[in-house]
Amino acid sequence: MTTESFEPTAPELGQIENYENEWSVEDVAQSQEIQATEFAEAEESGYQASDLEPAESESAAARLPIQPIQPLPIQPRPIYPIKRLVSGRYRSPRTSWQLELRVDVDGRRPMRKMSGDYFRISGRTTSYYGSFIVNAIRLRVTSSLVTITGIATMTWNSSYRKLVVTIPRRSIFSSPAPATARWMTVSNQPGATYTCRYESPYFRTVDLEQDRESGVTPFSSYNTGSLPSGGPARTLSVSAAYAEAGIQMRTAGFANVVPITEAGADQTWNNAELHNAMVRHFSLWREAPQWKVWLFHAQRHVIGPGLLGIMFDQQGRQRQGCAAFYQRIAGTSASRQRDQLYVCVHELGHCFNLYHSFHKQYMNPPKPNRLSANSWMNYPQNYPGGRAAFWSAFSFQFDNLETIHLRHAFRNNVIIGGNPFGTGAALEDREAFANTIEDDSGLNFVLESPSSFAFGEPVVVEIKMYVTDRRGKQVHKHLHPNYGFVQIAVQKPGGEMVVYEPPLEHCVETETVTLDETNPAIYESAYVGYEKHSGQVFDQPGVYRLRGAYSAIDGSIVMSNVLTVLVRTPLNADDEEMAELLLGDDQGMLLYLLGSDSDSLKSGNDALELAMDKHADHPLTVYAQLIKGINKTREFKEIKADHKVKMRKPEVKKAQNLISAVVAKSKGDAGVDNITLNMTMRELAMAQKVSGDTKGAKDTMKKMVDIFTKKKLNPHVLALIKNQAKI
Amino acid sequence: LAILTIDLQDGYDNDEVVILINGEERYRNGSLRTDYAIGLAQSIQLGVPEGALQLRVNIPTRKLIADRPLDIAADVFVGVSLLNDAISFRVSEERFSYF
Repeated sequence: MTTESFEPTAPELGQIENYENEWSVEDVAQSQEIQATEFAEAEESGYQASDLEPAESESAAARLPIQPIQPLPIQPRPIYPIKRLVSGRYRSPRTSWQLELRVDVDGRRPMRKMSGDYFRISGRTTSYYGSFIVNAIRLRVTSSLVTITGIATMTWNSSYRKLVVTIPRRSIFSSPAPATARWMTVSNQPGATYTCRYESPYFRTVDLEQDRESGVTPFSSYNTGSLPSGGPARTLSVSAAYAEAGIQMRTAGFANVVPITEAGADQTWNNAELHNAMVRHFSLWREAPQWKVWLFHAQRHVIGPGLLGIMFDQQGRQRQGCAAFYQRIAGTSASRQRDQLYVCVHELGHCFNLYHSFHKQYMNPPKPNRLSANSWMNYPQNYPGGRAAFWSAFSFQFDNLETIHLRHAFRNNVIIGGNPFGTGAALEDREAFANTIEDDSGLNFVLESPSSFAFGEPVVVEIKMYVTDRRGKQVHKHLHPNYGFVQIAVQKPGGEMVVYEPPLEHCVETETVTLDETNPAIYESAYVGYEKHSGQVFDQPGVYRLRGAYSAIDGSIVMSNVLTVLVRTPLNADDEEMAELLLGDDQGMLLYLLGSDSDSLKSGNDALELAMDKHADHPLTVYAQLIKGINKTREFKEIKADHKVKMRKPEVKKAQNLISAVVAKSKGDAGVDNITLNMTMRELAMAQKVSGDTKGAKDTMKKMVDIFTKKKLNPHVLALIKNQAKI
Repeated sequence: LAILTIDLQDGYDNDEVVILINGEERYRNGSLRTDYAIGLAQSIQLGVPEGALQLRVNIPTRKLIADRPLDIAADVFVGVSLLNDAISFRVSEERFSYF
């Protein structure tokens, strides 16, 4: 047994490894007292306070180095009536916040921690807010009450960091008692209080779906007494192994047989084929963080017979699937069964974001390697003394730090599909893309756009709201981010996050519209390429991810799909010059305003003129024509230095020429998007009508109907356009 | 001929790696990266004559060169890792397992 420890606040390894014993809170509290006594003695003998936890607690016991209890002899104590264990998962009711609280102070391998996740309830939607962990707890036990106190480390900033959890003690013949969680400042000013009902003895619950390749007999269970080992004999399945770590693995989904043809002609899987198989056969799969994982039992991988298993899912939302390869471990012998168990539990460990014991230094942030770890995550061949030494010492469990990770890690560091593999650090920016956990809003919110844009091309997204509740739903009429009901977050190629804010504020009264079977959707297009604080958003080639959040009338936050957009690298000097001409700050503002005569935007207007003169045939010139054309349909008022108003009247003929060019380029699949084209033609028609050219206006509208009829739009959209054409 | 399997294992992060056997270049990769889900960047198999030979690993991106004499009597497996700014070798008669 190793006792190495890498920092004063970390648990020493190799303690409380006896999962057979069930620790009562009295045992744990007594161990704490023993440790406190030892601490007091150590302090007298010169133990440095700086070696300890930060002095946020008052007592010496609270300032002890954090470590799971040591299996010291328990002193004789009074015989208590048999009480329920208090460890497990608790949950508060759904109010504006919901707390999932995890208490880990007794039972099997108590880690002496508390942790929790907060969820924000808004209307009928639930979204993850943040996580906390209490590493150093102080435990007080009476015959009727367990009180656990400690200072929390949180993913958000708060003055209320001291957590006091009280749990009444009940007999095993009574139902479990609720836990009361009280937050307070370190100077004991009270904060929020939550009453959480007992939910499960497990700290986390995960749905496991297992599929197999045709011809492969998947692992079922292994008796660990079949061969010498470092632990007692018991029968372990994959689920049983995780249950010992405090994680409930529920069998879920459909057990599919995957045809070997999906591995290609070589009948050997590569990671891309495995990912495809996961997406196709993992019935619970979604590109989202969720407590669901896929284990695939296959025959062989392209890397060769040396590869016994792999967590192959390292793209998009990672860690959702893993595979075991039976080429070298198939069979019913004890050693083969042991190998199968080991590989399956090990690969699923990667899905929970656990690195190999000897790779901890490569994590983000790095940790010291633990070559001699008695853990599912080690390699027997790397263990000091080799494979034989490993198996004779191995007791079929995760080590303490891994157990703490599985039970108490911040949610995004452990949840399947959360932070990328190996990244344990919280990435706050990614929260902008966080899914709602539940969405009963009855609405479907969708962002759409072409899959790629040329560099410099204005990125316009279509914002669509559908009703899924056929009884009808009232929604805000204006979906453009200008009006504040929709926010769009953009993740740039380097990972930087921009929450799009329109350059100008728009204050509007709330206008609503009812979506139902006759009017099931509303649409809007928004140019999101130029933003109030950071200017040009799509300012480099690469892959961008966009996601919208809609604030519904009932307070629900409805999340959109994640829209992935590629901004293509320029192919030639013309492309580069056009990008330069369109990507300035003034040009961004002109695109946002759809044109302006303002002197302050002169350089932008000059650039657009140059684009039309020098690059008349370039595909991106349509945007210069669009801006200039729409601007000409409008009058422009300017207050001069002498406070007199100078007005430029609409220049309808010039507008018509420019917009005709836009229409010609956009009537097929190229040019501007449909919503922009529709808006542009209506602007022109209105300007024509106001100038007295009624026939011209009608012609423009007829042309608009003809174009959109040929585009084969949804019937209700086409009906709307035909109605718009009646001017 | 025997088969020399060289597994480029831990520590590679877009590194250039050159492998020479008895002074002859047998492998070069300009951008090698370890997959920490398995602890392997690449596995290569080379046919080599039985008897003594000199294995040289050159990692120009780290300015590291290391030699390892081998006595080849049968198929042999060599793990090569970048650990603590040094090249480390692990020689085995058994195939390395990854999972």
